[in-house]
Amino acid sequence: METLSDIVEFVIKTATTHGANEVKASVSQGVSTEVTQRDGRIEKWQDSRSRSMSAALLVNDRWSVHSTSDLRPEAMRAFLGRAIQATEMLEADTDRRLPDIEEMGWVEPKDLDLDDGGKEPDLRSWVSELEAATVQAAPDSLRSASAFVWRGRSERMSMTSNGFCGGFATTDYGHGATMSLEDTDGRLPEAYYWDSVRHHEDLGTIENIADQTSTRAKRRLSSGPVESRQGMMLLDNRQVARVLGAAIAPMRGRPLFEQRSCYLDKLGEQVGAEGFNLFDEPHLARGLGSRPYDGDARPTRSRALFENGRLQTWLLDTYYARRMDRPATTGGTTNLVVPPGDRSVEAILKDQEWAIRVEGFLGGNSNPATGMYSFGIHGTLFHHGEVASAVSEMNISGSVFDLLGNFVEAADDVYTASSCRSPSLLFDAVQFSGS
Amino acid sequence: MSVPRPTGSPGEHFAAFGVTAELLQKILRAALQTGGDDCDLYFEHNASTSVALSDGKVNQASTHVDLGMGVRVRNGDQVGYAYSEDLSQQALIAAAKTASGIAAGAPSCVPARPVAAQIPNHYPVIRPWTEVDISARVQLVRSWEKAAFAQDERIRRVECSISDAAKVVMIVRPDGRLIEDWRPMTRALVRCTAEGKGPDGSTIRESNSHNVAGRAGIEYLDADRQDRLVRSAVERTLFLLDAQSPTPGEMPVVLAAGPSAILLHEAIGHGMEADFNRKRISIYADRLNKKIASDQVTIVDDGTVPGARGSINSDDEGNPTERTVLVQDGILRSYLHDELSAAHYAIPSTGSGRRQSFRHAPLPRMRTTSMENGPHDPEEIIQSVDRGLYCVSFSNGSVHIGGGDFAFYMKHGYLIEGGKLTRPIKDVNIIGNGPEALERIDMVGNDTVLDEGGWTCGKDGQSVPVSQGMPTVRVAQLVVGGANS
Repeated sequence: METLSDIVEFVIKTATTHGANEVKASVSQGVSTEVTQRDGRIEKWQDSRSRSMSAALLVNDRWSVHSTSDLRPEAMRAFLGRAIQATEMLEADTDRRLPDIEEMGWVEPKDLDLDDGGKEPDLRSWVSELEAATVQAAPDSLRSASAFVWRGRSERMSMTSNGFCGGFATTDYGHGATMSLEDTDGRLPEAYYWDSVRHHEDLGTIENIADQTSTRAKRRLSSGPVESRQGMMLLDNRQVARVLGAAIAPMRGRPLFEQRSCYLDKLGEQVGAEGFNLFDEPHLARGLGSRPYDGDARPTRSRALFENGRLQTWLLDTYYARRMDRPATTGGTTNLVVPPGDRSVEAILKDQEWAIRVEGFLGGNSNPATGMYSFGIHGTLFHHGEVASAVSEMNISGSVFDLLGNFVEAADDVYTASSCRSPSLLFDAVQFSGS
Repeated sequence: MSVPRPTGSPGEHFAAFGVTAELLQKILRAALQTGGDDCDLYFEHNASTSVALSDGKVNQASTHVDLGMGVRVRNGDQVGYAYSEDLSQQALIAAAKTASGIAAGAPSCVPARPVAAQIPNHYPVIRPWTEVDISARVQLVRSWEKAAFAQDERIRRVECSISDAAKVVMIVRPDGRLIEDWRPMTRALVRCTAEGKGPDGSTIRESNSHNVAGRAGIEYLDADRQDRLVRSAVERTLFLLDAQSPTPGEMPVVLAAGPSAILLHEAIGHGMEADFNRKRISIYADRLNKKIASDQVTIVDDGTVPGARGSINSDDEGNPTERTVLVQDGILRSYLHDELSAAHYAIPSTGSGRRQSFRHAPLPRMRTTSMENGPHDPEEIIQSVDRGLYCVSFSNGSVHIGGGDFAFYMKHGYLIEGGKLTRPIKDVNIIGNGPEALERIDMVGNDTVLDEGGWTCGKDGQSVPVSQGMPTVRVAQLVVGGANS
């Protein structure tokens, strides 16, 4: 079987022949190369070529999911036969079935522009130049620096027994650097920075990677905890995804259905401050999270998650929508978008008597049932925009309701090399714990 | 549908896929065609099954099969790596030639014909999951659901799952070594959601879970362990209904025996992995044979603990695993080595080269990391604290290798007031600096326990199963998060 469509057709035909009533077959294949360089020499060169299949099966109202990388026809035939036998031993669940074909579909993948055809840059010279630039940008206290570059292309296709067939390809390129510095107290603080894009031509410059890595490493010198207090938090644009993750987790179908979500009685309610807006935008051209169809093979569509602070939707896939007797929305997010504000980070910080800019997280977790979160952080303490000290070994804790309710403003510095496209965000009354 | 334990000679399992001794030599020759110093072939055939109960129905099952080979070529400390999910001769040799690109010289050696090596068995299995059909799994999760509901009327929902997996790995080296290892794994989880009333009469819902895991067959889930699994899940969930967030700040922290070993894993273990030290980016670089902790502290990392989730019969480079003493009476004695770092330090590997799958090159990794007993009674340790935190269970941890900062998330514990456990506490992140925390361990208990939880360690995008254990320990000061200032 040479093509992806050969494989999905084989899976559907074999599974239905063995007794499956409904089947969704998905297959993906990809190639990628990643190269790391340290001390002027290639440290690691890794080539990856992968191909795997997954099949969701409905057999007499019983549902199961199976995947394999052994794609020999006789192996897949035996695998699917065993999978169907195993499915028959489960208990019936009539909500586990494919969406109606009328609900399925996709956005034209070409409009998303996720594939540049696969460029083949010279990885050896690319990583070598990046490492040299990183070392050059480093301060005298450099202990070690490394650079990494990658390129890859993948294709995926899904087909269902009731008539859906869709697929799309994506390309990935990226480069980044890491840096460890020697601190005066013997510590070796490290930092990293990278760019990730769909089209090779969109990559940022080597010089920017080197400068950002160096800047971030130097910020971490002589760091430590400051006194515990409540205060302003400026969340760096690259770090927003972690906090939004805590705000989005209770929106998902499973915790809602299992009644362990703090948003059970919050749909349409004011959860955050008036100025807080968060959207899911699956159709951004060249977006890292853009998708033509979702996990249920429904066409993706833009939707507001929070608008003017109100919770606008739950993330319900077909199954949990049926269990909860509600319309399906979608099971997950694609590109999270927070609209930018008008002011720069510097202007915002200048107005704050005391503010910690959170530049990274260390551990922590959140509880979707209560909305409570607690994360380790590092960053920089500012007084009226002036650097006061580097901060580490501190925690932020509270509830997502308080956090979103205390949102103050968004800066103008949207970060685009991520599926979370957000500017830096300012929150008031965040509980910091330190010394 | 896990892979059965091979009954033939080592090598026969993959020979059934067409991977003969002759083909192995051809692949090795291709890998070393440009003069690399050494290479390894890592074949893997992995299969797993999971059955889950949710909302009163055993309505979820999944199976997964992974098959392929990874080839690594070493040229000094440089690594070329490639893998193939296709075990045809053409694909395997193509992968080897790709990995050989890290070197650029003449062929370096003629690979010897592979000969099977004998390895010990640290995970004897009495009844493998291949002998257990799906209906038996269904009955097990059903019985846990029933038991959980029976324990307390505040339990409103129960989810249960059983996952079993087994993989055959085969490592082949140009010196003729062929090592084959069958690695079973059993994991069971119960999650409960409970409902109660808050002080103001409002409805409170909380959810928590307990899981157990080990390299064993179905015999692992004996009556005692099943009872403990369900009881712990229920108790940990109900506990949260009354628990609060603490007042944040620095305070003494007492870590209960068992899962608290996440402190060892994050604050110390990762810093001992020799790749970080070889590159001199770990805060423990250059500190071998120096005092890094109090005399009470002895830490070992052991791949040979019978049936432990972190145990391995051979590491993923084909080297014997062992019990490695990392810290002896407070003095740093060894790092955890794979072959790359062992060559750098000119010492034998500690058998710590591990990888997630054939898609990844091996790295120095932990196996079962534990602290040995100290002199103190656990009660004595709690009584020694006037105001602090007693930590019982955890969900995750993280570390910055160079700076030494680490964090772990306490799911449930107690406030210590006047030497006694008082108010229940939940959901706080605890953060500190590894070397400082080690120095601040001033009391070590005599009650070390190996935790039976299904811990998984992440590093460089790779996850491997690990185990950990610890006695009750007092750390004089750590930063505790909290929302009640």
